[in-house]
Amino acid sequence: MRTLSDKDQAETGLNQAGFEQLFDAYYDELQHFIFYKAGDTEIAEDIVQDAFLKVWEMRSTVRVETARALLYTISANLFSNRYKRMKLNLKLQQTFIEDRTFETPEFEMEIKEFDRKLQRVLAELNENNRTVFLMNRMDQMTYNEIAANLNISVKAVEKRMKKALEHIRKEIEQKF
Amino acid sequence: METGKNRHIDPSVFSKSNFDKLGTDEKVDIFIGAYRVPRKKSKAEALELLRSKMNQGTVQKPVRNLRVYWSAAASIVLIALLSTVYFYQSAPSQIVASKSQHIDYTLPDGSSVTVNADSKISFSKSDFNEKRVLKLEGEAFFSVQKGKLFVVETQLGSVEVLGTTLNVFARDKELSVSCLTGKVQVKSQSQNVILEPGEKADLISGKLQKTSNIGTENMAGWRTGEYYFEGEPLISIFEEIERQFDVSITTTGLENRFFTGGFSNKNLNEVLETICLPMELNYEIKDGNRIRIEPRKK
Repeated sequence: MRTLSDKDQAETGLNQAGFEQLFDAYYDELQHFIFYKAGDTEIAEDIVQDAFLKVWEMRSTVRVETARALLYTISANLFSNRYKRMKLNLKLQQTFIEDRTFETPEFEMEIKEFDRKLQRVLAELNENNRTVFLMNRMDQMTYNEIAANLNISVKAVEKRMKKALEHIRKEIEQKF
Repeated sequence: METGKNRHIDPSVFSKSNFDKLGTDEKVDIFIGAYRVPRKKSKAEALELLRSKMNQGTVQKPVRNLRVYWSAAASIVLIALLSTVYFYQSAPSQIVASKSQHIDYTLPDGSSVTVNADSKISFSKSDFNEKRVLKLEGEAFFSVQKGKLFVVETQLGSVEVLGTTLNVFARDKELSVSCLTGKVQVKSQSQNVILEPGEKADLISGKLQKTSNIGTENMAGWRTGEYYFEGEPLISIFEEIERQFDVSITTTGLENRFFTGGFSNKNLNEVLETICLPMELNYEIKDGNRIRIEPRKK
């Protein structure tokens, strides 16, 4: 976890411009973050919307330096309080299959099958492992960045990544 | 992020002969690299919507799933069990960790234990190698040497171990056992469950319930000062902070509220802020060690 410097302490409070800068910087990654947990676009967008609104309401006490981790914590809590035992139907979007011509119909089947299985394996992953894995692979966040955003140690990030990778490798190889 | 970046796959991948040459990890990376997170609203639309709400105040109340906070039910179980207190043989040794203290200790059989703040273990030193039985009040992490059955007795049930690492949390209302490696058997009254790595058993309203697929890195983070909570009652989290920092916390209006997130035990102010800011709570520290926490008034 980061320690507070005197500078952080000094800069408390956000104005509208500062707040909208936060929105611009972090909206996408937060929408992704909740999508990785929920597998549902509307839920992800609603949660992130409400998280920003909460930060806006508490703007006088928010420090820019810790706002990103704060947004993550609020979003994760809104999500876990509202949708804890939701059945997951995670489907990432891909555009690389439909408009492509394949050498043979069999090969097209094989590619589609791989996509389907990979998506299923991702959906089956433990929520925390999947989230960290996709933050790294899809949002290209470093382990340090993920650890800071989620207030966990880098070692915990490494372990979740390792678990996710092992699970994916095992399941994909087994299912082919 | 996906808006700016064109997620593109090298077309040569989509030739059968090239695809077949790739390993699983490479295929996974290529596919995931090309996936996008779907969205309904564009970012600009989301910002418009947000702006329209920003000056109205009031966020909608979350539609919360009903979850039972079971302390009332559990204390009845505790009272029922108190009448069957154990008799303890021969002068026991005790390892007592006071508030804000963690103690590492090596038991006579070579097993090691880390006792968390405000917790106590007791055992008989003279015949521990014969009978590996100890009693725990509070929370401790064990790394057990292989050998004879190793038993951790708590007020609400006992835990039997062969050779393994595990975390036992046994405070008056709660019993929670996590298995990090090896195999563990948890017994309470007539129930028993067997835990494998990544599994956890909780005694909830007198019933032993097993949860699987928990990251072992979250199971005993307290040993390194890293705490992670997943949907835990806020009240239990503040109790943990009381033990780790030796402070006294009074709360009002936090029943049925839950927190997911982490903190490290380095700095009390920072910990309070990590929890209070996102959960919209006010905290006030008096005389350095008395803390009042309540929901922020709207």
